[in-house]
Amino acid sequence: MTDPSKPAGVGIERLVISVAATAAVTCVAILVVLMMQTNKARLQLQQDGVAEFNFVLQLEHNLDLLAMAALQHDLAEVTGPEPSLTRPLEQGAELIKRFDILYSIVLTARGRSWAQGFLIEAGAPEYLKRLRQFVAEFDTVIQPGQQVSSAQLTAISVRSQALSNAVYDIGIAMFQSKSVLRDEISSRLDWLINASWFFGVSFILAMLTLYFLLVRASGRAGELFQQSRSSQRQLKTALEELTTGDSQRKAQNRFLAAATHDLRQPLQAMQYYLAALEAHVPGERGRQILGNAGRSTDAAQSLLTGLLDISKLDAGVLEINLEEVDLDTLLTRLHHDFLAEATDRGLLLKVESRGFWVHTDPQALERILRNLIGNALTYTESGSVNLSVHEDGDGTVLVAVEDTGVGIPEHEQEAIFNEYYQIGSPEDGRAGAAGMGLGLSIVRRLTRLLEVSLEVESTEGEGTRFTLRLPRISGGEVTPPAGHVQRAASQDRLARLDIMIIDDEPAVRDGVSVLLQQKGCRVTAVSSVDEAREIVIQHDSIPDLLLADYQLQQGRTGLEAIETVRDEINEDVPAILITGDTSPGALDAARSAGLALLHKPVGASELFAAIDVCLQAGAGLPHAGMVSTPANEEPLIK
Amino acid sequence: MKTLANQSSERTSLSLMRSVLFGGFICLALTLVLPLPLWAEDALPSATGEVLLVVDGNISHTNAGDEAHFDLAMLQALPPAEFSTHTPWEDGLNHFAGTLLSDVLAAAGASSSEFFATAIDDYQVEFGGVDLERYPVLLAWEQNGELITLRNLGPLRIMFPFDDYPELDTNANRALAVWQLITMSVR
Repeated sequence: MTDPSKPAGVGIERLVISVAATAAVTCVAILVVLMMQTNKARLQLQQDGVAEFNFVLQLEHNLDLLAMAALQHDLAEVTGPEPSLTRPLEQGAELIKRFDILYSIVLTARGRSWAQGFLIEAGAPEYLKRLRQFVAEFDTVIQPGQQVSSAQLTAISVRSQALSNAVYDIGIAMFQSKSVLRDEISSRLDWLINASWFFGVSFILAMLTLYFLLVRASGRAGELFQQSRSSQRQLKTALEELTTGDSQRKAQNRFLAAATHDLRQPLQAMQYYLAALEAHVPGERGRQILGNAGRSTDAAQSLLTGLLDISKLDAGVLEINLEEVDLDTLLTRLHHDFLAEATDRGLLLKVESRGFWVHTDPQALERILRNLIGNALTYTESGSVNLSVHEDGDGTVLVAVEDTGVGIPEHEQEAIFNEYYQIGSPEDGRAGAAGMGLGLSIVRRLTRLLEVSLEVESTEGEGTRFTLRLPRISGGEVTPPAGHVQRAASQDRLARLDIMIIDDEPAVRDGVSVLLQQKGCRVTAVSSVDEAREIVIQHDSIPDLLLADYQLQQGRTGLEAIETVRDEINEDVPAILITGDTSPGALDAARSAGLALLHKPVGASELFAAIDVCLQAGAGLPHAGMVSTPANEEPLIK
Repeated sequence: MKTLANQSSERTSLSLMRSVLFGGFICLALTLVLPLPLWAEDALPSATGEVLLVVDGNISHTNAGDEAHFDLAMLQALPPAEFSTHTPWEDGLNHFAGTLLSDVLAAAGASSSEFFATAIDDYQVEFGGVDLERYPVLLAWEQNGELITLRNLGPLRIMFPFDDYPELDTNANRALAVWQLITMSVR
């Protein structure tokens, strides 16, 4: 309590305690005063009636002495000339004195006689009457110089004695009644005093206990306060650490994004080069090696994409755009895209379409399914991977990805959704192809984002089944599979295209140029906005398509380049913007300009498909729901 | 208040009280009746008139053996004092005159202001616990300008100034206001 480091509240506590203590002491003091007063009253009560009783005794005594004096006077030897029945009172000074004393008490000349009042109060008015009558009767007789007869003396003696006895009886009665009452009250007062003692002791004990408890509680409160303060300090430190850690994490994310971006440039160039190289490799062995190299770059691309997806999902910058999605179109495309890989592995890839439409984000759904299918293919040695669609009773559509692979042990069925989790050991052969085990954790994040459920059923050694539950839209239009048709058509279309490439990275620029030229395109490659403008002016030709990198030298953007070119030729030619940047600013800009947007790394087939779609859109054909749908392009989904 | 009666009144039987009281009277009577040796060894003049007050006990000034006897003239020679007061025993305001009790004690050379008082009617009381320096307690022989007679509770009467000092009006002091005073035995 005296610790100076204690909070200010303790001061108030001490004030309260001191006030309470003062009140308690005051109570005790009052109690003591009360007890003293009670005791005083008790003592006074014991004195009560004593004076009256004394008076009775005095009166009785005086009457006795008067009787004795009268008797003695009567018996006294008369020394007069002749014996007489009368006695002169000159020789009876004692008798006169005794009578005067009685007179002074009973019939005092002045005012009210105290004795009279008392005797009336004592309930003996008759006696008083007798007494006064007696004194009055002999007042004239017992005077100096008077003669008093023997008979009179005898009468005085007898009556005086009788009065004495009577007052004695009165005294007895009074004493008894008074003492009974007194004893009763006295015992009550005694009881009161004892109770006061008991109360006082109890009170003091209670106050001491309370004080002790209060001091202890106060100490405990102080302790708690200290603990709370230290907890707060710890919490503050933790918060600071957390904040710092958060900023560190952000810094790491920025670094990761930057690194990913930088990695994409050479990777993409390599993909383009490898694609271009394919035509120049005549030998079977060479093509094999080239295929392996292609797969390696694909794996690297997949890895980078996964990293980027995770970081974006964790950053919460991803927006979802719910729309009506034709499941048939999507599944057919997926079937087409994964067919080669499945065939390579000797697996059967089956797709069952039922013509359902669902309400969801098409890019996110495609990403989920791609990851699930890729995962299924990776972990299936033999057998098949099935994509099936069922209708559930409650207006939902179940999309299942089923494999006949190794299966997931029950205790691992939750863990598979964690980052970098892989079934079996990392050295288990093809696991690396899954892209660091990010696939399912991306799936988990996306399903949460879309608020759709994902169920896992798996039997070890028999296979796994992932089931997505999507909200169904009734009356959807079934679009026939068009993948091969598009591809065939694009071959022809590309052959006649005049494409302008605007990219400040020579490697990428050259790679894309080579690739497109092989497809029969006429390619004009420039590195800057100004160069693009000059080319357009010089050649006086209108390109069929613009392919621009978003980030150009000197802080210029592909967007600017496209707008510049469009301004010069005075025509909104179809244009595709390629970016490694995921900032919302770039997205918004592309969207508002109505441009198709591709995210690095962009594969050759992806590029061709995008060009195809873009040209179709430009030609007024309906959207094929492909990746490059303008204004709906999400950077995450290729 | 320590009269014999009072002492006896404290839950003792009345007959015992009575015998004690009677014994006290006998002793007192013997004291009064026995002839006393006359040793004039002090400046206190002898009483020539009727002796109204006998002071004995622990005193240094005597005029009749071990006792100091006062007649009216000797008392009247002492410094006069007076006051008016109501009393519990009389109606109306009464004027009392006489001398201070402390002056009487001083005249007898009393060593203390506590004494055993005896009245003509054999009332006895232990006089004490009163600050005579502070309160002008009277030994009065005049009431309303007249000498107090035996029939008027005289000739000598101890009177407290009840009106001037209301705190003096207690049961104990009422018992000490002895009337018909005759003897003071100083302790």
